[in-house]
Amino acid sequence: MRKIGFSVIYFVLVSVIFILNYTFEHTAMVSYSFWNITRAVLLIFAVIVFPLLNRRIYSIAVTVLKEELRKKTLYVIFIFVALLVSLIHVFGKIAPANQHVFVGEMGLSGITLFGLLFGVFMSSTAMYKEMEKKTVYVLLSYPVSRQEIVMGKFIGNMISILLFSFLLSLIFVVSLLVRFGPINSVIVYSCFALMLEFVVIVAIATTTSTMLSSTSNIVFVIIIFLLGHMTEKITHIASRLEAQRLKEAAEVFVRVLPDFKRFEFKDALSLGTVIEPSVIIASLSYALFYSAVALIIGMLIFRRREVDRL
Amino acid sequence: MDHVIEIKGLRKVYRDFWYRPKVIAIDRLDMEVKKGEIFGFLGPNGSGKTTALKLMLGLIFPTSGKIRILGKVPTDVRIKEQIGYMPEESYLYGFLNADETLDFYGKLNGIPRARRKERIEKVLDIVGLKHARKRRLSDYSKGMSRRISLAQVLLKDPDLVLLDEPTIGLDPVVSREVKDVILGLKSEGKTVVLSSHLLSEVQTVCDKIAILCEGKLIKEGNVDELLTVNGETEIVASGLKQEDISRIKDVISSSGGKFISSGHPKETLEGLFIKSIKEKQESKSN
Ligand SMILES: Nc1ncnc2c1ncn2[C@@H]1O[C@H](COP(=O)(O)OP(=O)(O)O)[C@@H](O)[C@H]1O
Ligand SMILES: [Mg+2]
Repeated sequence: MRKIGFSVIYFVLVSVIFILNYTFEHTAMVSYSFWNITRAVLLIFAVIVFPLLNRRIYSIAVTVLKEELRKKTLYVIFIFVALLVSLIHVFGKIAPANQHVFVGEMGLSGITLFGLLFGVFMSSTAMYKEMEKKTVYVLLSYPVSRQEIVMGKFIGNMISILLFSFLLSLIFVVSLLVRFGPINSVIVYSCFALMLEFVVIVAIATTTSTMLSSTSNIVFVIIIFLLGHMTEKITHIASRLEAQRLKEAAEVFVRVLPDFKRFEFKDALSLGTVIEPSVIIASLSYALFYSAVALIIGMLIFRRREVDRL
Repeated sequence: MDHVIEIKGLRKVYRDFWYRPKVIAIDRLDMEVKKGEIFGFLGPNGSGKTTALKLMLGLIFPTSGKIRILGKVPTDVRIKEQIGYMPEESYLYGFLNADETLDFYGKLNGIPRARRKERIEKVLDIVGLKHARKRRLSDYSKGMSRRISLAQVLLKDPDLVLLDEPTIGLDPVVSREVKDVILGLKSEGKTVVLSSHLLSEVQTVCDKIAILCEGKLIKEGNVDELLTVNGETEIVASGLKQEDISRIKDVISSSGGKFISSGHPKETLEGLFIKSIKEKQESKSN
């Protein structure tokens, strides 16, 4: 028999990492690079490995993965985008002066498009569809907690999107290597960062799918995606506001929004600057931490949700 | 523990978007189900039978009142291992086949691999779905969906079984099979709660019934006691001639009784239907 619920341990793990982070970031107890790496390792354990060790979450996640892999539309979108990213270097001739930058940006946009289509559409319906099709009724007659169901859905959708975006990135990078020989490492980092962005999107979509119907959730997540890419602009506009209250409200809003700029290296790509691996590691921690907080909120909401109220 | 289900003063009010009361689905319900009973919820459509089952499973929460299932609150995950639930329609995943479905639910229930395999074979046999075990559930007919839904319940080997309208929309043959499974559960000492608005169904399988109307309990008790017509006696005999019957009439009047009717007992239409189908299938297989 389980004594302490999964979600309680999850919450404690994430909180401990948060407190440690707060302590270490504001003191010189450990070096930055040490903490940066340790934090990432701890978060990978807490947010991905620990849930997967739970037999019920693992079973639900595998079932979600099966569901996604059996969708024909997925393959149509995937093949279309795969063709796009593998042939994109042909368009390099349009901008002969900086083929690298142009092709790199085009390919990354292609993968982003796929992630949005696939990730948003599939995870936006995660919990809502369970309630709409009433499959959650049977699920809840089994010894699985509501929190575990939310987590299982998230992990399953996350693994599916990581799998496919990894394959796309691979196709893209290999096609560039074949065409141009050695390529800018920023492109590889950008692909990885995009996968992190997808994880955050899936976490947000899973959480909001406990409340919003499929269509409104798709719209909601796309709006979050767009706003999350404009955090700098919003901050900029807010700084010009006269009213102090509005300014503060805008700051809070930007803080709550996911900062997708952390996963975007367009400037580095066009300026040819080098990205330190530590930046990527910090982005990884940000993505996992943001996802964990979103999911904790999702689990709390679903815990008290009456599953027949749509 | 004597009572498998204990409900006291249960109320469920559905509210609309503005939180105004919309429907009183369950109104001050008190009931108890003892271990080993087959308990039937009877009531017209919309009387609150499904709502009551949803409350017992912790899918929704009471507005007020108390529910104890196997001695615990319905949201307690520890009791779920021992509860089987078959909803009104098949609410299983259409993209899985029967084998995958049962394996998934078996894992969720914590049944170890070897035993899971064994049980899957057994329940597929009971519900007669071995031939379609590799077919996706989205391709199943209504009868097959109900069978796999039942298989999912049997797989857990639960102490308490909740069945929502177990035979609705099924042809008499499948319906008969489902009833046989319910009687099988009874002989194993399981507790069964089922809801139905088909009165004859309930009469043939249930020990106890509760009649719900607009969320209120209007009658409760033992099926035999409730249905016995007091002061009348029924005699069924074979090989009698017309004159024997007039002699019996004389005996009745001479002992101060009153003759009411005589005639040939009729087979039920269900019995006739099942017998004919069986004969047809047997002649085909020969
Ligand atoms: N999610 C819901 N929201 C609002 N009203 C509901 C909801 N579910 C059921 N009801 C109402 O509650 C009453 C009882 O429904 P139900 O329990 O499904 O009846 P039964 O199963 O006996 O046919 C009905 O009037 C129905 O309209
Ligand atoms: Mg009903």
